[in-house]
Amino acid sequence: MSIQDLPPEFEQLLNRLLNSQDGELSNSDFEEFQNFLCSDPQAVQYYFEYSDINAAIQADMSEHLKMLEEIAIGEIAPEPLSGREPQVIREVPAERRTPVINYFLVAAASLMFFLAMEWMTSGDFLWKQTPDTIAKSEITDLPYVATLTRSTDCVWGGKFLPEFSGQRLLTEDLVLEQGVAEFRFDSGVRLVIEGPTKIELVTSCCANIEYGTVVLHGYEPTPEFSLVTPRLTFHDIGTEYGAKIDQDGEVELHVFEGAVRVDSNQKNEQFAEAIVIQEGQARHLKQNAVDDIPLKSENFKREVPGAPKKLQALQQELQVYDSFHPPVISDLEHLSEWQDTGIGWENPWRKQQGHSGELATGDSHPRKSLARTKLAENRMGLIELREGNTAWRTLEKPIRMDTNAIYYLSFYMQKINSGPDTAAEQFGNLSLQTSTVSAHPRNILMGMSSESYATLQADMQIMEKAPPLQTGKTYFFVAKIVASEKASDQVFLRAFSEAEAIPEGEPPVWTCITTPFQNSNVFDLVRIQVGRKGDFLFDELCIGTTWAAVVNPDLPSLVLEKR
Amino acid sequence: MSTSIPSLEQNTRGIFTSLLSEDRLRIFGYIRTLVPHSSDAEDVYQHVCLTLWNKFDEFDQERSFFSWACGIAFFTVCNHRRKIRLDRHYFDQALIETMSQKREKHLENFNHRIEYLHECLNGLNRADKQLLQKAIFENQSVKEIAKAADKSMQTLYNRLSLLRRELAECISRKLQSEQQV
Repeated sequence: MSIQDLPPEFEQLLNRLLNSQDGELSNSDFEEFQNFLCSDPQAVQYYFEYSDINAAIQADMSEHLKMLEEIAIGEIAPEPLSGREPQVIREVPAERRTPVINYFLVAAASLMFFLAMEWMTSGDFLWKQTPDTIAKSEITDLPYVATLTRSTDCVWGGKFLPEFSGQRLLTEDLVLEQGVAEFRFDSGVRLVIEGPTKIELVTSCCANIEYGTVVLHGYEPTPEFSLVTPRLTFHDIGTEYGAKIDQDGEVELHVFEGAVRVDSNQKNEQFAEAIVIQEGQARHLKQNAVDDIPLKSENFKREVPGAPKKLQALQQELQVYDSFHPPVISDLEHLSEWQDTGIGWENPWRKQQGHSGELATGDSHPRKSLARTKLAENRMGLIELREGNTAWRTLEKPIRMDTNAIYYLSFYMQKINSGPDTAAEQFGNLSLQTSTVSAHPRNILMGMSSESYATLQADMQIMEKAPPLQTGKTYFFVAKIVASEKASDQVFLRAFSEAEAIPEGEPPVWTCITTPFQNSNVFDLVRIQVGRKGDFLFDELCIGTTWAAVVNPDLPSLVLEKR
Repeated sequence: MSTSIPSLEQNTRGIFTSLLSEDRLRIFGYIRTLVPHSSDAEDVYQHVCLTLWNKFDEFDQERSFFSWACGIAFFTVCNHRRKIRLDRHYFDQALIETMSQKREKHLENFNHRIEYLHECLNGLNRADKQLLQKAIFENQSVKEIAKAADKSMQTLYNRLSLLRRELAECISRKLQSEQQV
């Protein structure tokens, strides 16, 4: 069979698609082309063959793909152990530059052009720009009820598509077509869903499932969590259970731990009263019948599969780091210069914000560390700020609240001296600030109040948490900053004491949580500040895009080595 | 503490790079047919590479790297399809699913077909080789080539179509004669 056995329009459309690198067919032509592919397997075959011919004639395709890989993975790949790539056209014109150089030149020129246009039109660069207004437009008023904690091989359908772990989820419909995802509701309950599943997050204690497969892990302090299916409602009683809900509303319920109370959404003879299904039991729940079935935990994904990320893969997720390690230790050790170390910064720590001015003052302790684990030599050191010391530093990449992103920030802090008047000007904190002058700067601040309470300030909210943190003890602060373009923002803070283990994933319990607020600031500055009568140690400052990136103690060494 | 990590990572990286470089054209070929827009296909390819690397510790090295990569590429294509701009053409989900299965199988003899393509290209006359080289290899616009050669664009488009057809038939003949041996 030849392509000429197919309608001539197909070959024409196929050639037009291949001639234009970017598939510039009209909508109707593309539709017609797609119809050929849907209706005739032979058309699909020719589409594959012609595409391969086109790709293979581009002899530099392999080099181009290699460059894309290097950009994506972030490192120049070593030479392969073996290579069996086909090379087709070998007649490369002598004057032709290597493809990689060509691509870099084009990319560099495009970037320069973009930056020039940016500067000419806005008077500033994208990462320096501040929004015209503090409040965002078109903010949804739906509340947050849960967090997407993990996902594997997920294909999402529906209107709202979760994009990354850590993302806050609104009260909306979610359609998981394939894969496995885990939500942690703000009540602490975890729900593992397996596609295809359609779920509506109603409140932090209630979800509707239209169809699908779920495993619910109860959380002891949480009041009953209600899982509402088309016909039945399940209330967990200290439970882990799995449920398969058919499109017609029939349910298979398998109780792995605790018990489940089942209520009918519409009372009938079978469900005149609630029934309780105990641990180790499974039931097939139909409209008018309840059948015993064998318990089969293997039919459910009780946890999201997948191992924790390897250190190498985490590298790109750590964006800012400072160990306060002085490159040279002075004879008077406390005078060693600690102000210009680390990664992800534009300038050294200064007394005032900006690119000039005096370096920040504060004592260096180059041979000490507050970190829990033993550190390499190039990460030793911490700083002591007291008596109103303030240090400012500019981030290379600011923390943007006007976009959809999650940021995590961590640091160690210890209050080392309480004066006679414990309630006056003894605070110590770290804050995110913007270099733009504003009447209501609405910074994000975390640390210890003068009364030694863990404190979090964001937007116009000030939260303090009793009991007070102890003088002379080290605390590890981790903040999660949820930035949303068209939904509310939110900040979470956890202060870990020395006795507490630091979990590999986000904890269910936080020390302080803001209520959702709206902020479009671009935080390009970090400030560390100590009250006039305060005396604090600071160490190991990290900013990243995942929890693991800012709590993994080995990651900074890897990143520093790479730099 | 960190002395053993780099060598282990480098070794893993070496294995990963080796596997990827053997199959990068096939993996991109798989994505390219499911994503009609070339720059979108490159975006998807980058996502796929990153995912492959992040999940490489889950890869069973007894299995085919290409099949594993196709599985990840399929999910990435499906997710990308839902996020793309409205001005982009994209195949229906059902067609993507059908084509993805066929394409993975089709690419099994990719390297073989490319060798035959090379032989078939050598059989073309110089003018045809030049046209293919300029239009596809050097990515010159057909308008520019037509102007330089003083020919109409339609003539060149027709010629390109004919050349693709001849090359496809030539490869097909070689594959058939190989099967008969």
